[in-house]
Amino acid sequence: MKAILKMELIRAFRNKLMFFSLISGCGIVIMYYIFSVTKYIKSFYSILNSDIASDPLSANLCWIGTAYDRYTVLYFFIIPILAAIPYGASLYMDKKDGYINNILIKTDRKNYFFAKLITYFISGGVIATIPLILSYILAIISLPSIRPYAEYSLYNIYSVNIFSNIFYSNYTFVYIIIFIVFDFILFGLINCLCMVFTYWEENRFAIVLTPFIICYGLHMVGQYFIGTDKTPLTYARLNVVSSEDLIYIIGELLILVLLAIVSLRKGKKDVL
Amino acid sequence: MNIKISNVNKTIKKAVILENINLEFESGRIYGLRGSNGSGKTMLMRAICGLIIPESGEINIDGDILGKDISFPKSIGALIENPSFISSYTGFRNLKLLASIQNKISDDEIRDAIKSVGLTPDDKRTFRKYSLGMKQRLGIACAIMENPDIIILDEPVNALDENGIELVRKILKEQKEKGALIIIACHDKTELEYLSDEIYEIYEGKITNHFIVGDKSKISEEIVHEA
Amino acid sequence: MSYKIIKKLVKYDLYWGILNKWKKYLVMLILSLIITFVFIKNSQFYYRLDKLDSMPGFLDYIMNMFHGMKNFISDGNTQFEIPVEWMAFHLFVAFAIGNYIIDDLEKCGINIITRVRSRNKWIISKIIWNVVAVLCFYLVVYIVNIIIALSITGKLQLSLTQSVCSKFFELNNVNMESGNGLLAIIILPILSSLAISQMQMFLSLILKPIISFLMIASILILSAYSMSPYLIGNYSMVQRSEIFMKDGISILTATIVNITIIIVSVIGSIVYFNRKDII
Repeated sequence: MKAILKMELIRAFRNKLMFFSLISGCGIVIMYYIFSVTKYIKSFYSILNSDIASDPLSANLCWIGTAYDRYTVLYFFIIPILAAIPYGASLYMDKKDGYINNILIKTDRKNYFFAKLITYFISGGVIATIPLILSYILAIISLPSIRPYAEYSLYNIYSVNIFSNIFYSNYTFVYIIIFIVFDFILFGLINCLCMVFTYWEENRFAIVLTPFIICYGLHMVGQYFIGTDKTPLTYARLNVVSSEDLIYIIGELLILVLLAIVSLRKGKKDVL
Repeated sequence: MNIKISNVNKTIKKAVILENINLEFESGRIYGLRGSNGSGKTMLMRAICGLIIPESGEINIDGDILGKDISFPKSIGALIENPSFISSYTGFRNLKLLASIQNKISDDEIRDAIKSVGLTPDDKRTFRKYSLGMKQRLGIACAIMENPDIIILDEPVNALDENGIELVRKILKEQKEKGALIIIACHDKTELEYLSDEIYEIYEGKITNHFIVGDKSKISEEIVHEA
Repeated sequence: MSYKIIKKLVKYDLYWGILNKWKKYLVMLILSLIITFVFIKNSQFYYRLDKLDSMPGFLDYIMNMFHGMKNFISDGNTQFEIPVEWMAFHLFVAFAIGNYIIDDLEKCGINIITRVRSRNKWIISKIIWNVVAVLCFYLVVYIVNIIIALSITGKLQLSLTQSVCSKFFELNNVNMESGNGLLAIIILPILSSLAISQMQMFLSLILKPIISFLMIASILILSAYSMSPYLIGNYSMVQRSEIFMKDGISILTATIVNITIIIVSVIGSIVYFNRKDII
């Protein structure tokens, strides 16, 4: 199992498309930094140099995760596509090229499909979170990480939002970690949808876009029926999630986990 | 029909695919291309088909320069790498669709082409359900069905059984007698020597040897590596 | 002879690219139905509360589909809401256009091109397919809305309902008298879609289809966020037209830009494909 997992992880990470996805995600973060964060930096230093009392600008304000900015909107909108590009069609291509036959005669079928699932999960999670980590690093090297206070109303995190008490504490960093881990898990599971739909789709393009289509479809359903804050395109930004939405989010994550398990069971069928 | 390839060079992503290729082909003969994997046989075939554009040099087909006077040879049938067809169509339907482009042949001639490769024209199975050998046979039928002046076959005996190989030999002999200019690539040395009148050896994109089969006399020799 | 071959190619592409892909048009049909029915349901709710003078008509349904959103002013606190109807339509068209050209090239393309003996004819056929495919999507939307309008209201109203526009699109003083309104609601979105689709097809030739889709999706979301003439998605958003918004997107600018994009993409596709190695 370890050998096949290692092989799949190498296939996922040592490829040009992974590089493209990471560069694209990080590129958005860098553009955010250049066009938005630098303004904060200028404001910060102009306030320091003046006598005007002002709300302290903090690195926590400059992080793409909690900001409301065109780059944030762009990032969280296209991340399901970016996450799926490098490895999304992997199982489909293995089946199409006949490569799966080479593998299955050398290893237990269960190991192969399980390794595939884990790799889908990890590759999706990594692509979604590396730019977030880069954004935070850029933020903390540019501005001081001043403890945020809800009274300043600078942040888009309110008392109704989950973990707001952690954010507005001396452990804001823990909030950031929770945010990143949550996104890792969320986009990792969303990426696993590619594996699920490989059994139903015969089109590589459609398979890679499946996670995005489902996310957007849910967003539409949310807009009309249950509210958009209960859909992945919105709650990927943990700062907008309120405690009452939690049950929907947990439900959706459980459905994703279930679908991932279903895809494993489908792997028991004949490989044709 | 005469094909003259003069000083053709092609590089893809800094890899030299074809280097200073100079060849001449005439109708009524079968030319074999031999070389190791990645030597440039398929790329040379693609260049003759007009599918890739050489960076320098020219490919002259009966006085017309490929890429300048004409984009593609006027009458060509090709099987390059894996045969690709519409997977939800039967073999006959696939060939009929392609034949309808130039409308040179009738349904009966399509059927004859399918029969000549050992397949059944009325087979209701779709291409998706064909075995590798059947796909290969359909690819050959597609290449020969319109009796083109130039026939290019890349590994024609790939995946074929003895009967299939025999059929390919028969087809190539018939097409040669009709005056077609045939270029084939094959890894099987014996088979290539059996089928071809002349053989060119390619190594790393360069023509290294040229044999006339029968008397095995070397016409020109530039040995780059030891066999 | 040349005309006959292009006709055959176009027939092939219309069959394989449109008729054979009927499921995609069915999805568009269902999408249009859902969007319009939700709109009607919401209108009924407000009508019962006397917040609307009258129920929406045909043109209001079309407006609902393609209105997009008003100019979003970011103040750092207001959450951006994606204009779902507009986005869904354009994303779905981008998905449908997607990888047809590359897929066809990998399947039968070589066999067809060597028989057609002309790269230009092949690519022109694909360009024509692209145009027809996009128009067919609009046709589906229009047919669905015509049927709904005739079933519910019994007529095809070609003017906007002021109260509906105020309530749903935040548009006051809707003036349809000049005819530019119809141009903005009906013609411009189509022209814009054609431009985006041709550009997507051109990009899918140069890059991979998935990357060209990614670029289109990025342009669409950025266009929704920012009202900028450089973000071409804005030209398809009816609500941001100068007809409905002060300092809105000029119809003339939109038309010129879209036509330019179409011409550049078509020429680019032809030139690039003529130089492309078909491997």
